[in-house]
Amino acid sequence: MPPEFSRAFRTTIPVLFAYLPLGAAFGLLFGALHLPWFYAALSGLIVYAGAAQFLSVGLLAARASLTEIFVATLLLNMRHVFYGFSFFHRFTGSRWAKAYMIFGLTDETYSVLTSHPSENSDQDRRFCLYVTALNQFYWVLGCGVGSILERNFHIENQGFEFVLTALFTVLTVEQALRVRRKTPFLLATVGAAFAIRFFPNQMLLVSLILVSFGLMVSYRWGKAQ
Amino acid sequence: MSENYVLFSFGLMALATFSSRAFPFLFLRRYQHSACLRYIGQNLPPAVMLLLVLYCLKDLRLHPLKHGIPDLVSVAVVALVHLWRRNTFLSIALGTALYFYLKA
Repeated sequence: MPPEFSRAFRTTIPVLFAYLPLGAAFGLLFGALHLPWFYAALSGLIVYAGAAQFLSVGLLAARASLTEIFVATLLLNMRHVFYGFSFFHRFTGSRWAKAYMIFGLTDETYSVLTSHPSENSDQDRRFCLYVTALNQFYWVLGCGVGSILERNFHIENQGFEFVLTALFTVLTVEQALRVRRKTPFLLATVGAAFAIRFFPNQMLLVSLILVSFGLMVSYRWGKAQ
Repeated sequence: MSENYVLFSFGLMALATFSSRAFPFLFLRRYQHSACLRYIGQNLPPAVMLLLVLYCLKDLRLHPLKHGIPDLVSVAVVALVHLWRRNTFLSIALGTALYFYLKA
């Protein structure tokens, strides 16, 4: 076994413990759509975006339009636009390997890779690739297992929607520990309150626009100080 | 539910996800030293995460207050457990178990 692989495996064990049950929760919820079992795993294989996949269960059940599904996914994943900045010099190698690592740049992969830089660029390239592939493997496995469990054991799936809320709460705490600044959280609270009060049906879109605008203002304001 | 509808949705979701992840590699490489983009890149993710938590809670009814208690208490427990141990699986598992218990 190449040493980078065992290092990647050891590094991704926390992700394994997060992705297996989370993926399984997604598989369980997805069961409500009464599709063949492998659809949940297929979603993990080609979409591979946890939060968006969870969100899609509700949208698909409500027969949302394809436009709405596309826009909702885009908005939810807009944050990934800023993840790539950390990898301009780390995602190298063949075109396919690069494309795959960009495809697999989830919140968890981002946090594992940014907190584990390696000195040697050749080893780092393989390490990044293994981490990405292992994480996706755990996720797809979880999705498949969850939907098989739901199918064969008729597990009640009510209440599992809280897993998504819990996941975002964890990610918020992680971000708070990383940035140690109040501005983004203040802006998010104000933006969300305004959007829920005046645009309850486009809450995510409206609050995201407000927050982005607020951040630009706060950048200008900080520079003027 | 038509399987074609679901497959098309998956395709569009995959496209939307990959576009947002590939965007900086395709278009923002030359701005990698821009201070404004760095500032937004630093501060947008925490804001979006909190927005997503609030989004999950937006349909919560707080009148009477007891309807909102399971969600609010469980979220607080997830955050506290995570600050304490910083173990994603533990935080989510404890919070969700508590949520099930309070809802029952």
